[in-house]
Formats: sequence, structure tokens, C-alpha cells
Amino acid sequence: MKIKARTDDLIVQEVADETLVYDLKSNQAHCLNSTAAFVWRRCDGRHSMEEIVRLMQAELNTPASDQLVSVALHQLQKAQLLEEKVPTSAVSRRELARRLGQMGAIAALVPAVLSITAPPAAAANSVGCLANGNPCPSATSCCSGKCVNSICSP
Amino acid sequence: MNLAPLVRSVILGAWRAEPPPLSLTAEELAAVTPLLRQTHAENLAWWRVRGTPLAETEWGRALADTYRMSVLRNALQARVMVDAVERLREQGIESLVVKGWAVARHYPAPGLRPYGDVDLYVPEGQLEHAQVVAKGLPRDIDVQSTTLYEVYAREFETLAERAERYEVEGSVIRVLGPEDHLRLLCLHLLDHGAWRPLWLCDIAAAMEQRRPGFEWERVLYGSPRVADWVLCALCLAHVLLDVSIADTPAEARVQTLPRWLVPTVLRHWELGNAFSTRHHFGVLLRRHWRQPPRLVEALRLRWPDPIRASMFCRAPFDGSSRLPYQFRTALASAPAIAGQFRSALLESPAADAGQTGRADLEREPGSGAQ
Repeated sequence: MKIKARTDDLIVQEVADETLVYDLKSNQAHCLNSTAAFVWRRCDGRHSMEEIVRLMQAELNTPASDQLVSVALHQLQKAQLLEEKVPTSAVSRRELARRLGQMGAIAALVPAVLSITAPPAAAANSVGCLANGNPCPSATSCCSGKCVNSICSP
Repeated sequence: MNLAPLVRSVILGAWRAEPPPLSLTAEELAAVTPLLRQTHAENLAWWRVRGTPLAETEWGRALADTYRMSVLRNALQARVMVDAVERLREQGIESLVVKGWAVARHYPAPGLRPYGDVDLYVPEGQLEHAQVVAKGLPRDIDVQSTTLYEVYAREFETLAERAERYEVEGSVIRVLGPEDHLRLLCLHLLDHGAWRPLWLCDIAAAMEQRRPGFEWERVLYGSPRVADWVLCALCLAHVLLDVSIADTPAEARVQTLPRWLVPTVLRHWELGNAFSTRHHFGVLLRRHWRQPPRLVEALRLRWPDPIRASMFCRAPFDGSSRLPYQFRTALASAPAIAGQFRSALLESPAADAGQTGRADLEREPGSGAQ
């Protein structure tokens, strides 16, 4: 089965060793580490899972490539970044990190597709006031008008 | 804790690919980040703390996430901008991109300089048509005539002849030439009271990216008073952000900078977005309608600062008292303030209190984060 990643309604940006993806349909933002991005880039509708595993072994020389690819696909699927469902193994990221450790490989290889959210403190509303719970420099910064111990309070 | 110096130390050199080392404690970062957030300068903090132990703190990780979102937001805004430019072009209207993307390109990493607005200059004679086209676009596009604001005014054709072309998302866009853009950034900064540290960084970045052949005459053309305002803005970048003004016309001006100028900017930096714009004041009024002490505080924040008052009165930036200008500006704002009081009386005071931010790309990085 050839695997195809979604390409429509996505904004993709590469920054340092991360690939940032914004899904315009779901308004979700994701951060892919290099392993997840490697797999995602090869989901071009021309490669099967086995072929991606072989590519990873050849290009990255990683141990347990089959498990890495499987976990990456599972994560990408969860983030709705693939066109269709693909069968993936049930190995958790933690378990994979442990196995990689036993093989002397670094845990950073474990694929990660993390959701990005603007932190609550950034959630100044359209009129420029801060919601409760956000750090505040003065009472007027808070929507509630109360800045207690530098935190906007109800 | 006096926060303005902290703001200054965090943004210092943050527009450069290699900013100077940052000396900041985790507590100081926690104290200053909310202020930077309110003024949309938090990505500059991230740029300074990345690769340091501060990046691993709670605030450091939050800054990294905000930066990632900003990268995506800017990418989306770039699409919006290109779409608008192309739609206008289809109608035979050539536009010039000002601020926004044109400023962000001076920064060393995508997303470092967030922008929420798309501002386009169009020829005076095509303004109405352009506004109709812009209204048909899915997002807010601000099309303006180049003569809309008196202090920035310059014929479109004059600006267009020095415009630079860039390819973005497969389309060609035109931005103001470096001299015209620097002039605009300086006047825009002062017109808004210089309350956002980011705006001064924009000037710093534009200053440091001048190329050989940069024409100062073009920056300082026309009214000597307006030219002097521009010089004062450049001096602010020098005094507060250590931008070199050696061998520039601003070099001599820095010796005679009025005493009220730098403290006014630092006071704004201390306040963050509590600095009261007309819009913000209206919100505060409705929010604090039944709390007289808060109303007094809001009114106090509404009092015109020396910079905006000077700009409003088209006054010289000199050592004379700013009070007459501040009174004049306050007087001129009185009808609007009275109107806002009337509106506040009629509206529910709770109307705005429940609003919270939206954490998706649809949320502008701030109203007016030009």
C-alpha cells in the first residue's frame, strides 16, 4: 500500500530541524521532529511503508527503522496529516525510546508530532486585554481589571 | 521591578542573526515576557534565549511555541498578501506593500517579526476601485492612498519608482524602497507614541541593512520639521538599541535630543499594552464603568503623551514644555472621549469582560501589529 500525505489546506514551514505544519481545515498546528518529517516527506503516494523503512535505513542509517516508521505514521495519522488510514504498530513512543536506548541509539530519533498551541499567556484578546490566569504588569492589562500578584484574576 | 530596562536588554540586537549574549535570570524572563507578549515582541525574546539554559525554562518553552505559531501565521499572512496583490493586479491596480511583510523580511528568521495586517499603497486615482476589490477578499486588507496621512504623504509614482521587487509564493510583489520605508517606519513609530518596542527594532533592522547608495536626501526630503522627526526616531534607535548612527544625518541630532523623549518611550515600554489608545480606552471605560478608581486610572492613561501630542500638534521636538501640546491634544480628543463615555453608559459593562483570545492562526497577532 502506497502512503500519501495530505498536501491540501496545509501551511508547511521548516525551521531549523523542525517542520511546522498548520492545518487550515482543523486550525491545528503541529511540530514534526526530523524523524517524523523524514517519514512524512516520503509519504508521496509512491512509497509503501516497507519502502520508507528501507529509505530510512539507507539514508539515516538508523536502527529499528521499521518501528520508527510505524510510530511516525501512527503519529501522523493521529494528527490527520495522511490522506488515508495506514496500519501501524502499537509500540508507544516511550517503549520505542527504551528499545532505541538498548541499541545504543539516541532517544531523539523517536518520531514526534507535537501539537502547538499559543500559550495561554499569549491569548490577549482582540482588544488587547489578558484573560484570567495570565501574568500581568498592571490591572488595566487584564480583561477582569484585576491583577493580583502579577496574575490576572477574576 | 523596573521592567523597561529589561525590555531593552531583551530586544537589544534581537533583529540580528547573531545577537549579543543575553544576561537575564529566569525570574527576569518571567517578569518581562508578559510585557513583550502584549506588544508582540516575544519572538525577539525567544531569539535571544534560544540555545541558552533559559530556553529550557517554562517561559522559554512557551516562547518557543509562540515562535512556532508565529512562523506559521506569517506564512499564512504572506499568502494573504500575495493573493491581495494578485487580485488587485488582475484589476489593473499595481500596489506597494508597506510595513508587515516588508518589515519582517529584514529579520534573520521567519516568524521572528509577527505581522497581522496587510497594508497596501495604491495610486490615488484607483483607491476606490482597490477598496472594492479588497472588500471582496476573505481577509482584511488595508488599501490606502499614499497621501492619506499627511506626515507620510508622497505621490505614489514617486514611491513606485524606487520600489523593490520580490518574488513571494510565486508572485512578484513590490515594496517601498529602503529610504522611503525607513522614513515611513520612523514617522509611524512617533505617530503612535513609540509604545511598541518592536517598532524601534524595525527601524534598527532597516538601518543596519542599508546598502551602498542609500540616499539620505530621500529619507529626509520635504518639510524640515518632518525630517527632524525622522532624525529623532533614528536617535531613539541609537540611544535605546545601540544602533550606530555614525556618518548619518542623525549623528549631530543626538546631542540635542529633547529630555522628554527617551523617558516617554521607556514609560510606554513599562506599560505594555496598558498604554491607552482610543480603542483601548473605550474598552476600559466599558469594563470599569462602575469602578471609579479604575476609571481614573484609565483616564490618566488616556492623557496624551509628549510624543503623540507633539506629532498631533505638528510641533518641533525641542526642549520646550510639552504641556501646551498635551492640553491641545486632550482638548481635541475631548469630544471623542465624551462619545466613548456615552457609549459606555449605554452598553453592558460586562460586554468585553468575557472575551478571550483565540489560539489559532485566525487570531491576528494583535490588532494593529503592523
